[in-house]
Amino acid sequence: MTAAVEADGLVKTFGAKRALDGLSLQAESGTIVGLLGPNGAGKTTAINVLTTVTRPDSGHATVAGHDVARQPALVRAAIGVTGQFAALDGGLTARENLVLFGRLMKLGRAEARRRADELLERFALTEAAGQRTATLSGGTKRRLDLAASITREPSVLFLDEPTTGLDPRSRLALWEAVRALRMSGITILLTTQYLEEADALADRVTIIDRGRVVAEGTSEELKRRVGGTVCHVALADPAEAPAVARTLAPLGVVSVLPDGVSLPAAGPETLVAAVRALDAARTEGLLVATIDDIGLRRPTLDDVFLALTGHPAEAADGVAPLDRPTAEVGS
Amino acid sequence: MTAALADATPHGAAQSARPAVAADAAMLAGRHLRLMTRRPASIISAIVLPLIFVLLFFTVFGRVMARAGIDYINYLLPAAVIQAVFFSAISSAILAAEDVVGGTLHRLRTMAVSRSAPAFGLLAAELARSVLSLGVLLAIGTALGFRFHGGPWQALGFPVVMLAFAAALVSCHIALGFALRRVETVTVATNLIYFPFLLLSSAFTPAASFPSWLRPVVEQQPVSQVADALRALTTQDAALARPLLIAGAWLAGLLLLGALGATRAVGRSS
Amino acid sequence: MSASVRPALVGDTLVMSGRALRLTMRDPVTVVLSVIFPLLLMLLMTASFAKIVYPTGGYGDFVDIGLPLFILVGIAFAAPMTAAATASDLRSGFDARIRTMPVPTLAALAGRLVADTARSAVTVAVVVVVGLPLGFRFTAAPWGAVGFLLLPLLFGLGLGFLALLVAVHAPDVETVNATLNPIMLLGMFLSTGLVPSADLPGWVQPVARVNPFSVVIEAMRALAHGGPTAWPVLEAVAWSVALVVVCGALALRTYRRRSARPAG
Repeated sequence: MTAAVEADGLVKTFGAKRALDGLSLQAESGTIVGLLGPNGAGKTTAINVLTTVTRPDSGHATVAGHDVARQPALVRAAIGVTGQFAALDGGLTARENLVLFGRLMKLGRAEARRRADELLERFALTEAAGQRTATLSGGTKRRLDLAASITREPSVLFLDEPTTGLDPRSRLALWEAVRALRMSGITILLTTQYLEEADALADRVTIIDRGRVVAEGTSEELKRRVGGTVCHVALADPAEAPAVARTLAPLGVVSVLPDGVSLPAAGPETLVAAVRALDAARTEGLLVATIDDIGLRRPTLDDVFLALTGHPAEAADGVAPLDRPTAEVGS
Repeated sequence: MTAALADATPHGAAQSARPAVAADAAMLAGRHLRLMTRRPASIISAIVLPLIFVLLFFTVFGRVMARAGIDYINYLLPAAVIQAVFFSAISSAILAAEDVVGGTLHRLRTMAVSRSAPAFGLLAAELARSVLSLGVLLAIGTALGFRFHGGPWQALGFPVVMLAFAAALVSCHIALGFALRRVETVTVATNLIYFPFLLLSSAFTPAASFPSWLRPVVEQQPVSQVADALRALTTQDAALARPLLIAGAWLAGLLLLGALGATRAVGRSS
Repeated sequence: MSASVRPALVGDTLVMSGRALRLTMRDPVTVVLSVIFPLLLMLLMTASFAKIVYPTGGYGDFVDIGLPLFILVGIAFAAPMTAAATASDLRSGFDARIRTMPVPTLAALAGRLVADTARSAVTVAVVVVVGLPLGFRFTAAPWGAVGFLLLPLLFGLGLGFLALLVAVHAPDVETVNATLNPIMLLGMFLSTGLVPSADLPGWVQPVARVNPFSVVIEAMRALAHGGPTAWPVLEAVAWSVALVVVCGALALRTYRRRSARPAG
């Protein structure tokens, strides 16, 4: 079975900036592939090339069996796309937007209306149907955007950072909608900056950095490479780290960090064991280190990047890393 | 000690209330001027647009006007001045509406700012802008042949009448802006006022060229009166008393209307 | 299934123009004002300038000779509105989405102009209907009248593409208006629309002669009143078509690039 999306050595330069530097990826039919990377990694450019919006300088790509450079019209007929910004017509109502896109996808007037009503119901948008989209909330607009993108039941759906800027509740609602879509057999390629989003939705994750792929695999495989959840001990005096590391050594492979130590945690048990070990060592006078903080931490995109590329996700220009565990959703 | 307390009560408070209006208004005027400089479009509309209209009208109609015996650049400059004042007024109405919509007015009222300061501040800022426009228009006009044929006292009267017109028109527009509160409505309303008032006046052509049934309206309306007064101030041996008195009466009336309207509108809009 | 989802120029243009029309209707005040404005201008300028420009004639003569200009005023000021809406669409990413659909680029960009032309047709009709009792006359052959009504629409299409060219280059809506309004203003004033060429200052006369607005106005006058018609009309059509082709091609090229980058 040929892959639904295949990209081979894509290169795209904008002036001095090399947005895509030999990008190659694949998405098997009927799966969700997550494209993970920080801002500027080239995710949006990759999507633009795959959706025939931009032509690559070199390399080629096939989507739904058609070459993006040579048969763009056929590609466009088979794909659905949502962008970072819900690209809807603010002056038209939700229903009118869906009918408009339906007709542009050559559905015919009556068919487009029928399909619009069907999508409105499927995405729980019937209440918002008659409202002008400019007045809808961010989460509702994204759902509408998603509905619009599957108007013609595409075989491949591209979601470019679908939950950026959404509040946690809208985000979860969108995830539900995406999962429901996957069940109908659509291949989905989604880009994101959030590790937990790739984790929650994607069958396979491709990590890109500076225009090329640095790692690929299932979410589990990647986490194994990175280490998954860790138990992190923050020390007031980092010089004490080796001593703390020795104390915790029986519990697992301890890594020494600039601000303390960490070790892989299977769950809260590791945390409890670590606390007991440190407490025991202190009581016996073997440890004098002052512990600022001890707790469970889920891996961030920075951890992933650090492990895979040796540098943090964001360059040292003072910009804070994007990925922070926003809510400690139960692991 | 009781004497000191007595000093601190109402008498002392009344003393600080009056200067507050002037000080507050000055501060708010400064704010408006600063905002204006940040919006180049407003500077352009204040100065460039009236200039463009003068140039275009003068270029196109100069010769036919000369044939009719009219020195058009001298005839037209008051029209340009009036137009600049109208643009100022329209902008003040929009700024007033924006301040209501944006919540600035509400915030100012919860601070220790006197009630009439916002209106006065806006008025002062627009008057300042009008003076600037006048300067530019006079400079360009003189280059094109405009002259004060009436002598130095009359020349001084010219900016005085213009500022009186500006004060009257702007205060009415500020009242309108505070009352209507929505920027789109204000834009439509002010343009609907400006357009016919300017074109159905003697500003661009003498009243005599209008059809006889329109002539009374054209002659009597305030914009024509102001245009005639301004023109009289640039003409040699002109009969000044009548046009100045009539224009003065109109402007006083409009100023009163504007002041009352603005106070009522500010009171209502919170 | 893919085979039936081919880009269709005519169909998609109609869908896009349907959308543009629907959005226009949602703002009836603007529509009414854009039709009333040229009417009001005609009435006011006739009342004030007719006797000055034609001292021996009457108000009717000014309307008869000046009507084409006022029609063009209505059409010329509709163009910036379309341009502003297009610039706003480009910023919001709406065009970026259309780009990923099987829609021909020309349909996506120019569908808006069909709605424009429809609105301009209304303007032409209203101004002519009001002008007739005021003194405007069709004294040439009937087909001349047809040409009189259609020529401004063709020129309007050219102006529309010019406006779109500005829209795809402009970073925001204010720049669009700030660029187009002076162009339209100069085009209308520095022409033979209001006063005969001989009454314009010496340095303006060559400008007015070359100005496409003058060319179209003269052609319209010939179509309505007779006299040598073929050459003026040919010139006017040539200008209009040139605007459509040149501005259209340039606009398309930039539009392709611009719609690939959403939000600005």
